[in-house]
Amino acid sequence: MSRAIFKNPLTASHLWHVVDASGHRVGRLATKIADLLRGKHKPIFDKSAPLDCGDYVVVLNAHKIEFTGKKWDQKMYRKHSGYPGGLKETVAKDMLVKEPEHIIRHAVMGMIPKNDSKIYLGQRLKIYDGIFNPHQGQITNTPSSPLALNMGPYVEPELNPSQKQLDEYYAGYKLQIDNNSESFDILETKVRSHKDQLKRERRLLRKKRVGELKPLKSASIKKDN
Amino acid sequence: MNRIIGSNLMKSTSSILVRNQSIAPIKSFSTTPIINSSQVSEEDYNTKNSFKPIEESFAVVHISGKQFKVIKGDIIMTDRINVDVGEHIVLDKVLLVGTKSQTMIGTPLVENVKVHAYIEEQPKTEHVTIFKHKPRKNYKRTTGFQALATYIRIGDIIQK
Amino acid sequence: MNIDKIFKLAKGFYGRSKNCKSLARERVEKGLEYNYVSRKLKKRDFRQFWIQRINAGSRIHGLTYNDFSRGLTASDVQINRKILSELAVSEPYSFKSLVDHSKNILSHLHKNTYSPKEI
Repeated sequence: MSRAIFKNPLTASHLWHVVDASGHRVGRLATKIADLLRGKHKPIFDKSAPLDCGDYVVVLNAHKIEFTGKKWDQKMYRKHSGYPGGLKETVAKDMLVKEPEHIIRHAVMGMIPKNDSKIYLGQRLKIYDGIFNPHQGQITNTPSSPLALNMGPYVEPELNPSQKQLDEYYAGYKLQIDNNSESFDILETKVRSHKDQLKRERRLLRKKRVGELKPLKSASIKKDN
Repeated sequence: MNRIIGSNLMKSTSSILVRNQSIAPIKSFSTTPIINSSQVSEEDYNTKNSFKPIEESFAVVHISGKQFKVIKGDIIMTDRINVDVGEHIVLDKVLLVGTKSQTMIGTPLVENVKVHAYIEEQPKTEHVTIFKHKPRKNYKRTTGFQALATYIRIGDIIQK
Repeated sequence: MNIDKIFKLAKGFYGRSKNCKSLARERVEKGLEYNYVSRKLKKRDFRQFWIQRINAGSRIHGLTYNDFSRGLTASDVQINRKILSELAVSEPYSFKSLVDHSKNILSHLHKNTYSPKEI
């Protein structure tokens, strides 16, 4: 592909994205940042020219990042000096106190393709502990674009399931459970029949997708044997 | 299967405007490109068939298995079209037309839109050396290949 | 191949392989083998490349590549990936109209299939 598109400053100028990390999950945020650094969100994306189409990302409030599950206690950051017994291990909990930037950078760098451009893409990721953004002057100099992603703190998604979806989810379980063993049996059979029904529906759909049943060849082969 | 898919335009080199494969292709249908045998000029062709040029527009045309995005004045290289140099032809497989105010999307072709074109040159493409080799089997073959090509200059994009 | 042709192709090679007969022959033949393979690979690589660009273009308007192309095939729009990626880069408004067209078609389709909605 011709590189002429990268000579046009309107299409190929490097954008700046500002992300407030507070409340975000590490991996979920890192996938978005890795895509922005490589420029995968732009229609001019070219994997052989990641430095031309990649962008800058500023991450603020790095110490307010979050992990799910027991990762704060169990996740280890390891490095080896090369000498015998030179392994150093840091738990994620301690890393947050020691170097909160490393948690995000480590996750993002693992999601960038392992080649020579990785170092230079990493230099475009600026992570800061506080809310102060020292790159404000540079950001105002670049042309504004609808492609720029400026994310605020994490907002929990609102789930508004419809009544029909709820009915489907709880179908078979709507029964008052007493301590009687009989009612338990009823419940079990209800659940089983519901699962069977779902299986039947799935099978019908599959048949519809295929179009029609294939001729039974296997039966004739069995007879020969 | 309820898939709403018509004829596969890409595989058939002859231009067939039939949506369902079950219907037999009509033989009298024009092929791409139509040779303007009577050698009338662009304007005469337009007035004769009541076409009007669309100004400031681009079109996506389908020529012998390949698609091109063209504007007026473009010169494109296609597979060989057996028409004399300097002759005027009309491309009738137009998949999409875009102007400043609107876009016409063809399903699969845009109706009543055609593109004027002229044959510029009938050259061969660059020579390709084909070298086949199998290790430890004493097998080496060297041949070459040069595809036949045609340069086309695009004229007006016209609409009924 | 003729040795003159070999030396012509071996111009600029590293070390003795541009001057010695046997070395030049080895290097040039290996190079031509790679050439043969990469003529086939070129088609795959470009298709991948176009799809990445279309995906980025359609995600701006809120459709993934998967859904976008499903809408186009269902309505029998047969523009290929080369042109679609070109439109995504250089004709953003035409590309948007294609995405809108695809969205409109998708609203009439059953979940993740090409079949129409059953009501």
